[in-house]
Amino acid sequence: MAEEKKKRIAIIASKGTLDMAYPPLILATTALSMDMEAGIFFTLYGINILRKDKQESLKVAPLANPAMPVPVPNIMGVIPGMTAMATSMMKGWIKKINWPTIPELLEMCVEEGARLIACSPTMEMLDLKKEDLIDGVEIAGAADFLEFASEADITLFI
Amino acid sequence: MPYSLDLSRAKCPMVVYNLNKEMRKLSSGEVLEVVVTDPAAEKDIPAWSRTTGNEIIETIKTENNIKFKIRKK
Repeated sequence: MAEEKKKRIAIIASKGTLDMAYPPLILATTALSMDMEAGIFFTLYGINILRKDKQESLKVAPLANPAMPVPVPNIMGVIPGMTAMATSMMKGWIKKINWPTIPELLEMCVEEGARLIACSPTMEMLDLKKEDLIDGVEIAGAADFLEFASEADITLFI
Repeated sequence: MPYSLDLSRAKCPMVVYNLNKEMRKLSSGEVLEVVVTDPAAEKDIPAWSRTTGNEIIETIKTENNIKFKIRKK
């Protein structure tokens, strides 16, 4: 008997801030837990999520982020130290709700067989080598992602 | 010996992730009892059940938590 074709989610992760690193990884781990296939294409600043030297130090930008609950005018976000403050606040909330960290979510993705695809022009632009990224990452370009996404039931740009 | 899993305090996505991982330990037809406190789980676990084919055979909702009994596909 032919095996039933699995549902598939294809995500583009284009942002490298701590807050925006969560949605693609949460959706991918959940999809994998629901017997779906998942692939994430990390491009532009999104590639920071995969960097060994950056994945633990992703930040939240308070500047031009009116959703920050910090009760100070938004322009204060330019002051040195505000990004660090916003970041440590968010890390505090993450801990409080018992959420996994970004490295933990990535480990779950790799363990469950997600395709983690690093965009090769971005790597060249940022002078990154394969060994600068976590294990389990593939390097490819738009055509490879599009082929994967053309068979997907869900596609998202984050 | 029934299987049980306490996911109190776990939040989305860890509820479904840990539930699915635990389910792999069971053989087809065996039942797992899981306790959750995340309000999202009331919808998420049935959605996971429909997608994966593991059947919810009982749902007990109390003031503090929800208990699902799930039969492995």
